[in-house]
Amino acid sequence: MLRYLYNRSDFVPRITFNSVIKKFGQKLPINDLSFVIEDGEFVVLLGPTGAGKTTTLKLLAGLETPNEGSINFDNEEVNNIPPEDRKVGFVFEQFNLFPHMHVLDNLIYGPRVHRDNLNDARIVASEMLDMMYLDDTQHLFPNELSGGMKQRVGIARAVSGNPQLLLMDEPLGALDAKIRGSLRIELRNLVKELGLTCVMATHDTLEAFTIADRILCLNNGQIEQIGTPEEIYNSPKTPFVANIIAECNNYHGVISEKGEEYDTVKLENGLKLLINSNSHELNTKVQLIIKANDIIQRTKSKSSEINEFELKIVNSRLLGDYYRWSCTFGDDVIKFKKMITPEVLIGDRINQKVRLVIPPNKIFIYQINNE
Amino acid sequence: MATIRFENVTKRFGSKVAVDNLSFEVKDGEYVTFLGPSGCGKTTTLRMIAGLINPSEGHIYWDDKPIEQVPPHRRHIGYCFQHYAIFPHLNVYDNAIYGLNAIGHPSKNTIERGNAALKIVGLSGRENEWPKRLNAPDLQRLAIARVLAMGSKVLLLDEPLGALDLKVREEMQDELRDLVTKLGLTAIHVTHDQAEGMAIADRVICMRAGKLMQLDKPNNILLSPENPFTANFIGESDFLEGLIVAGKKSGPGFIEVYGGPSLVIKNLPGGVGEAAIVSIRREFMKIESREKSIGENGILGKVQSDRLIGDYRRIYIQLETGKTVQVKVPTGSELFKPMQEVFVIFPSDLLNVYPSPEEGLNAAISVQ
Repeated sequence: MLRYLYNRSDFVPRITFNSVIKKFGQKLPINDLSFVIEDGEFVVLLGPTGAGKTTTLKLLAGLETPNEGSINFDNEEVNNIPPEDRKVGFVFEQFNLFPHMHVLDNLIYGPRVHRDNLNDARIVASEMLDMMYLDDTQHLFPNELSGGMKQRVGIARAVSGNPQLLLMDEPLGALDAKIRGSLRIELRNLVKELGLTCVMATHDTLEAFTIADRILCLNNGQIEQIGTPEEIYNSPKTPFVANIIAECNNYHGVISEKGEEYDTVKLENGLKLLINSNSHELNTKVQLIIKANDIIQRTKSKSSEINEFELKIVNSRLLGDYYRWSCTFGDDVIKFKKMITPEVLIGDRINQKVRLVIPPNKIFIYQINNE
Repeated sequence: MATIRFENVTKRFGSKVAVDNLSFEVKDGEYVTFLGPSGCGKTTTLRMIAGLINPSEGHIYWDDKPIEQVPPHRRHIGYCFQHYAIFPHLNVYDNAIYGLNAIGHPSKNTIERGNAALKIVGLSGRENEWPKRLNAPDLQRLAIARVLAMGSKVLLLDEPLGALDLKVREEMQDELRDLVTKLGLTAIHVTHDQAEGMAIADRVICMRAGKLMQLDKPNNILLSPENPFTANFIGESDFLEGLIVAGKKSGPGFIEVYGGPSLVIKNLPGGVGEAAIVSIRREFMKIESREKSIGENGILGKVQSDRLIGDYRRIYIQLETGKTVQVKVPTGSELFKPMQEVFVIFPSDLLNVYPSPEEGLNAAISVQ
């Protein structure tokens, strides 16, 4: 274990993307991407299918070359360095283990191809199997392992090739929810213990928040926001980010009144909301976003609270660890949710009325461009 | 009427036992979901109801009549597959009546039944479209229409919404649920998605390794899981092991947690001197700072980390017993610093207790 760590710690690179563009014909899967990943940092690429996550990973691995811009590992440009010279480990969603080799042979396949010292490779491989709780599986074949164990082998293989950079593409996507949950934490601990720089792609927000030092939100090949989970959750820069990180209510409207403390927004659904006074001018078209989790339910009305509404529940749903209600809100609906407690589970039901408060400081305001 | 009852049903494939002595009843008009890890026997159970395979032992009854000898096409059971099984070379209408034609249904009211089924799922007016023009929810609706046209009283759904994204999936869950209620069908629905299983069902069957672990209303499964497996599988729970030190079985008493204090228990799983397991959902533990708390039913611990996971925070706390628990608190509540000493409170009315399992705790809750 010690020897393994000692061998690698000097080489972990800092990664820079400078205005990277990747074209496939007319398509721009990566459209002017610039960011820095510090050495030893765990960054998660979060975005929907087609956002450019996998292409970014392939660019990092050297499986794709940028059409424009540069990718640097520390100060060295790596645009034209082939994958085999980059010292990256890759973990795939579908495990990609060799079915005809037992676990240990799968792990030392890389060193064997590189004609490295196989005795050393075996020692490293055994250490990795130990770390991933796979010590009894060395001589089993992949089809004798459960999905979770297969991916542990996939991860062990990726890191026992002595990489500087670990890349993972939806590594937990093919696993049962329960196993995914426990592997997330293990994966983060492993990467941190080895001190690797790691970039992982996922479309699962919970996973990104659980694992990442920083989250890079990707959409249409561009960065929407990069930041720590706290930064992204507390101040989403764009409506896209807000809606990907939490269940949100989205309303369009116009600033209809400016005040000292609060401005008024007239919503398209016919209602008015007060928002914290800001720099937007009168008649600006805005999109307001309110997280379902930020709406407060009052059992008794305090006198004339701001943004207080009495609304009728039209839908309710148990989400596992949360309970969510939808209420009519003008011509629209508003969703609010609470973490489950025994009281929540026997609580309000369809057609009952509830008193909701939308705190002005919890409303995110985005200007809508006219085009 | 359409009540489905399993009586000691076992299904073996070679030496492998896929379903192990399963007994349960799904009542007429009831919506039941099957939850369990992959390989737990959910789909095998569904296939036995449909008649695609027969039990190795035991009996399946439809309204008290055994149905093992009834071939699948005479069972009045509709089976919806995950990938819809829509024929690409047939238009919407021909897909909808495919089942009727296949069982040689007399043609005079085929048209009527096909049209009625399409109307119910909202595909009227689109009879001549080709499946490749339909989006995923419409394909699902068409698959359901085909089953309805057959006049099935029982709807079997195997991961019917697995291919849809979250928002559409939730809308389809509501639609499916309303449809089943409106038509008075009995529905049995297999899913790996716990939220879906809990949201849509009257009752949930939780399975593991071919065995039924619990059959109950969603709220009861959440609040009163009958065994450590269900407690662990449905949502997230932490477990403490200890010894019963005072009280009588089924009455109030104390369990002394190994390496820690005694906790007040309302309903002991055994008598004094017996080993027991205490489980609690991670949302239900409370954290109180050491200075402010009297620590009632609490265990002292040190905060290891406090991580924001979006709408909630997950706080890792190492208890004085050596065990680490994870507490989920709503985002916006008090923050905790690493190494801060706190009491983790285990409210006695939110605890579930079990006799210590023979195979050990880890084996008892394992999902693999």
